[in-house]
This record gives sequence, structure tokens and C-alpha cells, in this order.
Amino acid sequence: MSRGRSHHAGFTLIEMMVVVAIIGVLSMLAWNLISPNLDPADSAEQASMLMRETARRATAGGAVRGDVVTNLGLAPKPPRTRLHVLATTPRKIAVERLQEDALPLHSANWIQIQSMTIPTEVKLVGWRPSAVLINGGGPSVLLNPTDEVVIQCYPTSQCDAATLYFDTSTGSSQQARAVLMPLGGSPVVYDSW
Amino acid sequence: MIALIVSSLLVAMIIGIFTQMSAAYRTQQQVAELQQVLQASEATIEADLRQAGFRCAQGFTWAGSPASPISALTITDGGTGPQQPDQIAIFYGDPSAQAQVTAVPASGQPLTTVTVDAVDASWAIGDKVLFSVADPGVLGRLTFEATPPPEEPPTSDPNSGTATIPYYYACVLQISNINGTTISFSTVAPWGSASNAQCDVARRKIALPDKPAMLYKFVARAYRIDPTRKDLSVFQQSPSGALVANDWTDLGIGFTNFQIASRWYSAATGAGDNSDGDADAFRNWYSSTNQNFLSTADVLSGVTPADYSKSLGGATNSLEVPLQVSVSFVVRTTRHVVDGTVTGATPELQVAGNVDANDLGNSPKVQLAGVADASRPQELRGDNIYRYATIKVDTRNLGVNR
Repeated sequence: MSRGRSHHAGFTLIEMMVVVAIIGVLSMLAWNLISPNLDPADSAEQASMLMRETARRATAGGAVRGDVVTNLGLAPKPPRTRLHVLATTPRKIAVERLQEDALPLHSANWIQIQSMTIPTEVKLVGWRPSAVLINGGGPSVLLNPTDEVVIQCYPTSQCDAATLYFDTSTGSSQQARAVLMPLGGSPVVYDSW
Repeated sequence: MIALIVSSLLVAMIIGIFTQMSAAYRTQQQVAELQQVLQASEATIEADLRQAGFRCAQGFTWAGSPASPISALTITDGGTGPQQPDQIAIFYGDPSAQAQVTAVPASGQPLTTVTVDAVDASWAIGDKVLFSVADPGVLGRLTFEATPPPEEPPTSDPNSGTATIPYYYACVLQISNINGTTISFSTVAPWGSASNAQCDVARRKIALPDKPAMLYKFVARAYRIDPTRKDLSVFQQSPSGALVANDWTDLGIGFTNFQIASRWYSAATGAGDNSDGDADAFRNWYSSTNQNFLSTADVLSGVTPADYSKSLGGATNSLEVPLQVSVSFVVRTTRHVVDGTVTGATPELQVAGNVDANDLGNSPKVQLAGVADASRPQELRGDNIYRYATIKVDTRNLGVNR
């Protein structure tokens, strides 16, 4: 009884390696497309979406109650919402709404509506209280971990102009800035300073 | 191997769908941005237009023009043809911040301080105020037209035939100090002068107790598209109504066109002027450079009630009254479109065959599809989505009884 060569179905090592390699390449491509990209431009884009929401909420919220405006000294431009860069680690940027207390109180409080957390890979370096449409200059105010920034929006559909500057915590050369223009937020993101 | 091929195809298909959906999402996000910017633009300019001319309906004087009144509404047409945006300036007193003047310096003394009944909490040093005296006796009681214009229903109210419309003598001052109820005014350009002579006429019209001077916060706004940065297409606002040079501030980008048309009542040009074709010879839409010469500022002498009357027979004066303003914006995406959904042509903001007298403007559409970037105006280069909106606003403080 001879023991001839076995004809059991199966793959050779080479075949297996080719398959694994192909699956690996495809997985890598898919992951790059689907996974969150932790570069400064993405954080700037997220911040700009919050800016837009801040402007929209200001219009939708309407005018601040007159007695609250007087009591808190908010005249002549009482804000309805604000984009608030919080002094937290990691940094958070929040959309806040000025909520009046019920009468007879003439006070109001800032209520957080939504927020984003800036990934630890990205750094909010600083800001400038104007809309910087042309590259150059960088931030006029550098932000320490305990510094806060407030950008206000008004029921008139307008916001304060501002530019937020992002780069990476690792010191790479990636930079981005989110430019908030007065008209309805209308934010723009640039991949450079 | 077959399984591998099939699974590879599946993965490729999933990646393709994901890429397409991402592109569609980003595109829709940009369109949503456009809509929001358009809405904000409309809201901003609409609020100003609704108040245009409050307490300065016949114009106002300021330190830069102490003798000749400035029109409460000034339109500067950019020209007839593609991509020639217009400019508009709007002026009014803000009634939410007002005070009554109880004492002014003696005649012949410079108008550097006044006493008011109460200082509005929102006023601050540097604010501009409108010093306005209303005289109901100049124009008298005006009579409605015997035959209403075609678009208005006939009135059956026997008491609605007449109305008293005050004539406003108005000038602009800048607050330099506030001490109790005493307000001091700047004597420095651009908003002040040594004697603040821009208010000479208005202060002579004060007659207490019936005709006091009132102070209102002065609001001046001008809007345009920056002519120097066409690649960014920047929409701008001037906080002085463009009275002070180079004080334009950026409001938003991506604005490729801004067209103004306006409907005016004009007694003088009324007879036989029906160029907008609505069968109303006294009220016409103007949409080209013909708007540049229309003015609410009464620089003529001897204005009488007859000049303001709607009576078809007696009007000879050329004082004009704006009734409505039509504002059109065109906005494009600030980033190039990623999924190929681009706009083939910009909107037509005119009525072909009547570019001078329509309710849109004088700007034809510009073909984009199939036209190379180099052959397009600078602000229309790149593949973008365009959105536009037109609003018509009644200028209620100016068009009373017209």
C-alpha cells in the first residue's frame, strides 16, 4: 500500500501571505478613509461648525429681555450666544446660550448647549479678535492652559470677528486656522496660518 | 482566490459608497452654510432698511457737509452689465436710545453742550447722535389721492383721507462727554467742527414746548462688495455710511453680486413716467444708474405741501420719496465643490428688455458651464455652488402716505 502525495484542499504559505498582505493593504486604505484624522485642520473644521451653530442659535434665540440687559449692563449690544474656549485640559470649545432667569429676577446665566474636545494631538495655540483672510501674522494672543476666549453672537445674525489658530502638539509643521466672520458666523478654515 | 476577489470588490464598493456619501455630505454642508449666510445678510440689511430715515426723512447735515443735507437713503449703482455690484447707504435715528433736549446754548454760541431730560444708559462717549427737530407745520395735512394707485385697494374709511407728516430738521453730533444730564459734543473732525454749524438750521427750529429737539443714537450703514479683493468676494459694511473714508469692515466672503433696485414716488417726474410698466405714473422702480440721482435730501427751497401732495395736478418740486427697496445677494461656496454639483450660470438679476426700470437690478447672468476659468470674471472662477436671494423692504419712515 503506497502512501502517495496527499490531495487535501489547502493553501500554500505563499498564497496565505499574499492574501494577508492584500487584506492588510485594503484595511489600511479603509481605515485611513474612515478613521478620524487628528490633524489641526479637522479641529479647525469642528470649531467652525460650532461657530456656525453659535450664530444660528443667536438668531433663533431672539433679543435678550430688557430688564436683564439693563441689570447686567449688556447694552448696547446684548449677546444671545457665545463660543467659549474653556480653561480645561484637554481644551474644550463650547456653544453657550444666555438664559434669562424668571421674573422678578433680572439675572441670566450662560447655559452650555454643546461642546467639542480638542484632541490631545492638536493644540489651540492662540487667537486674534479679527477675521484674518490672508495668510500671515499668526495669533495676536497666545493662549495659556488657563486662558479662556469668548466670541459673542447677537440676535441680529452677526457675531464678533475672530480667528482661532491650531497646530500639533508634537511640533510637526501642520497648521490651520478657523476664521469667524461677522455675518452669520460664515466660518472659513484654512490649512495654514 | 474567488472569495478574495469577491471580498475585494465588496470592500472597494463600500469605500466607493463611503467616499460618495462623504462628498455629498460636505457639499450639503456648504450649501447649508450658504443659506445661513444669505439669511444673515438679509436680516442685517432688512433691519436697517425698515428704519431708514427715522427722524431724518428729509435728510440730515453733518460736519462734513454742514449746509447740504445727506439723503437718508443713497444708492450707488455699479453700472449696467455683468458683475457690477451696487452700493447702498442707510441712515436713521435709533428710537431705542433717545432723550429730549431741554436746553441748548444761546443763539450765536457754538453747539457744544446740551441738557437733556435723561441720559440713555446705553450712550457712551464717542457715540454719534441725531439732533432732530420735528415741525408738523411745514407740510400741513396731506390729502390722499382721489384715485388710489392701481395696486392699492380703494379706502372706505372717511377719516383716512388726510395725514399730518412732520418735516424733520436733523443733524449729526458726536458725544465727547456725559455729566449728569449734560451732554457735550465733539468739535473735532470728522463728526464735529468748531461751532458745530451743521446744526444751525435745526436748532433755530426749536420752539418749546411743541417743537423740542430730540436726540437719538445715529445709525449709519453702507454695504458693498469690496472692489479690490474680487478673489475673496468680500461683503463689507461701513459704520459711517461711507461718509468717513476707508472705514469698511468685512462681514463675509463669497459674495459675488449685490444688486439694488428701488421704487420711488416722485411728483415732478410723475407725469407720464411709467417706465416700469405698472400703470402708476408717480411710482416707479429704478434699477440702474438712474437711482444714483434719487435723493430724500431736500436741498430745494420753497417746499410746500403741494409738492408732497398726491394730487396729480400741482406737483412741481423734485423731492423724491423711496417706497421700497429690493436687495439681491449672490453667494458662492468658499471651497470648491467636491462631488461635481456645480452651478451652470449665475442668476439673472434684471428684467431683460427693461434693465433701467425693474424690481431686481441691471446684472445679466454669467455663463459658467463650459467656460474656462481664465475667461471668467475673477470672482466667478472655480467650480462652485451659487445661491441667491432677493428681499423687498418697505421704507416705512420715508414712504409715509406715498
